[in-house]
Amino acid sequence: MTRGKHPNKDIRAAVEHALKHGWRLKPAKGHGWGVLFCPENDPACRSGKFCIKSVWSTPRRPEEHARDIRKWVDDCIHMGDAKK
Amino acid sequence: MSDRTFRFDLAFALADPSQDVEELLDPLFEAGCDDALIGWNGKGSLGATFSREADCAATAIRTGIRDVQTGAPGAALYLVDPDLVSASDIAFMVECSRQNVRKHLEKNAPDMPSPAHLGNPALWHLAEIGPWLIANTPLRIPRETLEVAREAMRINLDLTRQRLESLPPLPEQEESWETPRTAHG
Repeated sequence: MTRGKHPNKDIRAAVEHALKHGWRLKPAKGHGWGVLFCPENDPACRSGKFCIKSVWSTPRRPEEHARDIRKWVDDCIHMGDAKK
Repeated sequence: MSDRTFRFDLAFALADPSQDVEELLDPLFEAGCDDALIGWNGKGSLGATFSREADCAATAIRTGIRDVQTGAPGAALYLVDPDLVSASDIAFMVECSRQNVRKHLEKNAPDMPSPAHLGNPALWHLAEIGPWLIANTPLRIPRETLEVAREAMRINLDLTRQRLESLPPLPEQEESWETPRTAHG
């Protein structure tokens, strides 16, 4: 289960950023706080290989984990723009 | 020497393509992947984006591979990134426009490293084009990124050689029925 909002504010903001761009969140168990997945599921998308990602409850470095989540989302948005 | 942060992506093929990756998440975390963003596609591929502190890129990447393979036994590494990059990838990395990067690359200076792949888009080894961009343009790439790019190029080269050496022999060419020749044959 996602335990309500993520305890870390940077990760909370990164998850909000993903959700705002259409990503969806589902519960996870154990060390996973939740699973984010990209809505596009476009097989042509370079990131389509790994379009489902696990957000940790207690990552080793929360600010880096938040940054990696943002980069994943921004890379997809960026690639989307590049296709236009 | 103090530790620095190295960012890199690892791609693995799972031993069992139908494996439910969510069952691997706890073993991966406990094996040390708590500094990685683990991703999957439900079709047998597993990705790990690491932001790992280490004294050098080689150590960061080597231990990252080890930790994933400890949490997901039998996972076969097939790619380390960043290695091959397009102008768009470089633009994203240096936070400027793709047009700006292409302007520099399309000058085709004689000492510019050759692409590793000609196509649309063309691809360069970041380990080669990165230092050239730093020396010849205002674009800036962090040293840690270049260290990762060099190590990624080395590992990908080893992986490619293993794949080449594992190729089965080409099948014997079958005798084919000749099509009837036309008048000019």
